[in-house]
Amino acid sequence: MRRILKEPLLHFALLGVGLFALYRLTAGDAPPASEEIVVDEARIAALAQNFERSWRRPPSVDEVDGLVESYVRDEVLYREGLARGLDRDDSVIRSRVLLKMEVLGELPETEPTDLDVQEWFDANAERYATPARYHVGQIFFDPIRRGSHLDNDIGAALHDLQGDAALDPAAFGDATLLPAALGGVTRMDVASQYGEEVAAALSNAPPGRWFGPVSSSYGRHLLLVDVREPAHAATLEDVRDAVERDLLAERALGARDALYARLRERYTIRVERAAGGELDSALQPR
Amino acid sequence: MNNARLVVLLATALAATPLAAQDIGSVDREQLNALVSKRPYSPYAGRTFATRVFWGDTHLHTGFSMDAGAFGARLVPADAYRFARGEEIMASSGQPVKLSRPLDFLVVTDHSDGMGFFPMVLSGTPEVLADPQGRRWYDMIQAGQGAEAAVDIIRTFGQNNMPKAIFPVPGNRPYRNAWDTTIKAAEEANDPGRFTAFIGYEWTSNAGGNNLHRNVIFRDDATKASQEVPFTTLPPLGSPNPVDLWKWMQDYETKTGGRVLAIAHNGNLSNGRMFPIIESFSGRRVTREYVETRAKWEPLYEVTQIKGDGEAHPMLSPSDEFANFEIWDAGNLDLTEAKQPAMLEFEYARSGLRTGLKLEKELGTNPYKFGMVGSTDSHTGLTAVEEDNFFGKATSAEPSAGRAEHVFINNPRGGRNVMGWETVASGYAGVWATENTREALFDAMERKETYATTGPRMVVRFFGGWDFDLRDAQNRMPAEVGYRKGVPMGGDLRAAPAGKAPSFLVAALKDPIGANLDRIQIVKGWLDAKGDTHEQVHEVVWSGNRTKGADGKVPAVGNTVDIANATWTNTIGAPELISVWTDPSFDASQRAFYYVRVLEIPTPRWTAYDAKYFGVQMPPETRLIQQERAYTSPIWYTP
Repeated sequence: MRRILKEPLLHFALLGVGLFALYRLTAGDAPPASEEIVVDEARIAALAQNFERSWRRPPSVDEVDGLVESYVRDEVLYREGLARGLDRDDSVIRSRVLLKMEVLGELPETEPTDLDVQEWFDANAERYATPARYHVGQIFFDPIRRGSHLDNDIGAALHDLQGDAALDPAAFGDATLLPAALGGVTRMDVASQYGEEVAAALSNAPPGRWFGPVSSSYGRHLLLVDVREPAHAATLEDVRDAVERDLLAERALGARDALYARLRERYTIRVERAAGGELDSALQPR
Repeated sequence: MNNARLVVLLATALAATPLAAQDIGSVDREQLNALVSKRPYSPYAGRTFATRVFWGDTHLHTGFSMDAGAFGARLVPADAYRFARGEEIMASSGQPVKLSRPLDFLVVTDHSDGMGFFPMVLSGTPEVLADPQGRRWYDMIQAGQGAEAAVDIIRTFGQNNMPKAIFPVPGNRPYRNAWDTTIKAAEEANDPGRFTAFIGYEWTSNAGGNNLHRNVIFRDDATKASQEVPFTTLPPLGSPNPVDLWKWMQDYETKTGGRVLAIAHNGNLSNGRMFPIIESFSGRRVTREYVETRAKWEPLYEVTQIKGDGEAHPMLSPSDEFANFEIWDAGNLDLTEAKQPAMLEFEYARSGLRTGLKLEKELGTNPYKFGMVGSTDSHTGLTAVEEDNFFGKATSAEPSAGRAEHVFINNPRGGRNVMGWETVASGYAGVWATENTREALFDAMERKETYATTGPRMVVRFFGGWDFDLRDAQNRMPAEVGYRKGVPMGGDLRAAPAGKAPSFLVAALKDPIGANLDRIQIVKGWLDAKGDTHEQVHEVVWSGNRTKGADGKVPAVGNTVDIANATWTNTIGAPELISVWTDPSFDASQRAFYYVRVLEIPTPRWTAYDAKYFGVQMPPETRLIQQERAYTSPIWYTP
C-alpha cells in the first residue's frame, strides 16, 4: 500500500481529479471576457522567428495566421488559468520562477570599471600570486627502530649537523622511501610527499639551517629549508582575464544575496515545528 | 651516531653508480659500467630514473557520456579537469565537493557512442530543435520531465532508433563538435610539469551485455588527435569486436604518426570473455595474430574500480584469505546472463596472467602481459573515490541518505540485484615517471611502470634482479639500488645465472594522510613442465611482532575501526615496510610472474561514513570495514 501511495502516477491522477473539480467549481464564476489581447508587429515577428528556427524557413502567410491564432488561444487559456490560480503549488512553475529570480538577482548593476578591476586585484593579490618554491632536505628518524633512544639520537644528530655544515646528511637518520631532498617544490608538493605536518613547518623554518624534529605520520624529521624562489605577486596584465571573471562572479553572488536580503526584510517568518525534533537534528548537516 | 652503521652506509653509497635507465630492457650493464665508474659527489646528479609516483585516473565519464547524462550528470570535461586539479566545484546534485589533494593527471574517457548527445539536448541546439523527436525531448526536459526524457532516450538508443540528423555518429557535425570540445578541454587543462590532461575516450563494447570495454588514451595533442574521431561500437561505422578497435588504433598511428594505447576493465562483468583462450567473436582459439595485436595495444589492465575489484576471486584462489575483496560475480554487466563458475578463470587479473604464460608458450607471445592500474569509472565528472569523500558511480548515487539501499543494477531475470552499497570507492593509478607530462606518463604506462590502488596514495617500489640481498633494504635510496641491480615493476627477467633464484626489493610507504600498512605480499604464478599453471601468495614483510604460522600465513593485523564514528587509529600496522625476498622454489626452466600486493590495516568503508553522516542504518548485509590495498604490475621471468 505504501508503495502505491508513493507512485508518481497516482499523484498525477489525483492532481488531475483535483484540477477538474476546481475547474467545475470556478468555471461558472469566471469574469466576463472583457480583456484585450493585442498581437503587435513585434510579437508576430518573434513568432515567425521561432517558426524559422524549427523549420529552417520563414512561415507562409497562412502559417502566420495559424501562429497568431495559436498564440491567442494560448494567451486566453494562460490568463484564465492564472485567474483560477492554477499556477499555485506547482513545483515545475515554482522552480522556473525561482530560476528566473536567481538570474535576475545575479545581474550586476554596472559593468566593472578599470578601477574596480585594479582594486579587486589589489585586495586579492595573494590569490593570483605564484607560490614560493623551496629546496627541502629531510632526515628521517624511525620511532619504532630507535625506541627509547629516539630523542637522544635526534638531538645528537641535530647538534652535529648544526655544528658542521660540511657533514653529509646521508650519514644520519634511518633508511626510508621518503625522498631525502625535494628541489624547487611548492608547499603543496611538500604536503603531498611528507604530509601536512612537515609542510606546516616550512613557513617558520630558519633559512639554510637544520632544525627540528618535526613529527609526521611516518615518524620524526630533521629539516633543512632553502627558499629558492619567494612567492611573488602576479602583474594585473598577466592575469587580467581571471581577475575579471572572478570579480564578475563575486559581484553576481553579492547581487543575488543582496536582492534576497532586501526582499526577505518584507516578510516575517513563523516556523511551526512538530514536537520532538529528533529527525531534524539527525538530518542536520555537519 | 653508530659508527658501524655510518661505515656501511657510506660504503653502499660509494659503490653506487648513478646510471640507471627507464627502459631497463635495452640496457647493457657491462657497457654502462665501462662508461661510468665513479658516481659524482652529489648523489642526485645524473639521475634519470623515475623518482616520483604520479597519481591519476585513467577512466572518468562526464555529462558527455550517454548514460552519465541520462542519470543527471551535468558536468562537462572542463569541469572534470578542474576538479581533478584540486578545485572545489559544485556536483551535479548541487553539493560542493573537493578532493583531499589534487591529482597529477586525468583522462576524461566519455563513451564514444553518442558522445555529447545529452548536452546538445539540454541546451537545445538548433539541430535538436529542428528535429521533431529532439524537439519533443527538449520540451519534456524544459517542462521538468527530465527523468522521463532520459528513459525515453535510453530506450530509443537501445533500439538503435536514434534520429539520424541529431544523434552524434562519426562523420556528422554533432559528433565532430563533441570530440572537438573533449579535445579542447584536455588542451586547456594540460599544464606540463604540473598537471597532465590526456585526450581519451571509452570504446564500450557490450555485445550480449558482456563487458569488453576499453579506454583509449592518446599520447598526442590536438594537432594529431583531432585528425580522427573515436572508434564506436555501433555498426556499420563501429564494431563491438576488440580486433576492430586495434585496427582503428593502427590506422590512427599510421595516419597521424601519433601514439595510443588501450586499457580494458571489468573482466568480472564479461562472463568469461575478458582473457579468453576461446575468443568470443570468432568462437575459435585465439590466434597468433590476436595475441600479438593484443600485446601491442594493451599494456595495462584496470584491475580495480567502482564496479568491483578484479585482482583475484576466492573460488580461483581458495587458499588466499584476502582474495574475497569487493567481488561482483552475480552475472554480466546488465545481469542478463548469470555467472557460471567456469567463466571466472577468464575474468580476473591473476588468472589472466596465468593464462598468458600458457598462451605465450603455445603461440610465442603473451597476450595478457599487462601491468596494473586502478581507476574510478565514475559517471559524475568527479574522480572522487576516497572512502570519506565518495561521490558514487552516477549522479543519482551522489551522497544521500538512501543511496546504499538503492538498486544499482536491476536483475531482469528476477535474481539477485546489485545494490548501491556494493559499489566500491576505488581506485587510482600510480605511475612512476620522470616528469608530469603526457609523454613521460604515457611512456611509463607503455613500459608498465604502474600500480593500482583502491584509493589511498601509498608509495610502492618493486624491483627484481639476481643479486638483491637484505642490505639493499637498508639503503636509504632504495630506488637507486633497485634500478642499478634490477628491473622495476612491469619489467622482465631473462637468462637466470646458473644456480641463482630471482630476488626482489620491495618497499611501501603509507599515504601521508592514510592508514598504516599491514603487510606486503608477493604473488607468484608459474607454468609447470606439464603445461599447467599455479599460483602462490608469499608473505614478505609485515608490521609488529607477528610470526608466520606453519601454514606460511601471517595472522591478521587486528582492527581499530570504530564503526559508529567512522574512525580508526594508526596504533597498529607500520608507516613503512621494506624487505628483500628471494623465490624459495625457483625453477629456471619455468615461466613465471611476480607481483606485489600491499595491504593497509582495516579502515571504515564508505558505507560507514554514510551511516555516520546521514544518521541512517545500513542494510544488514552491508560491509562497513575493509582493507585497502595496492597491486603492482608484475615482473615476468622468461627462460
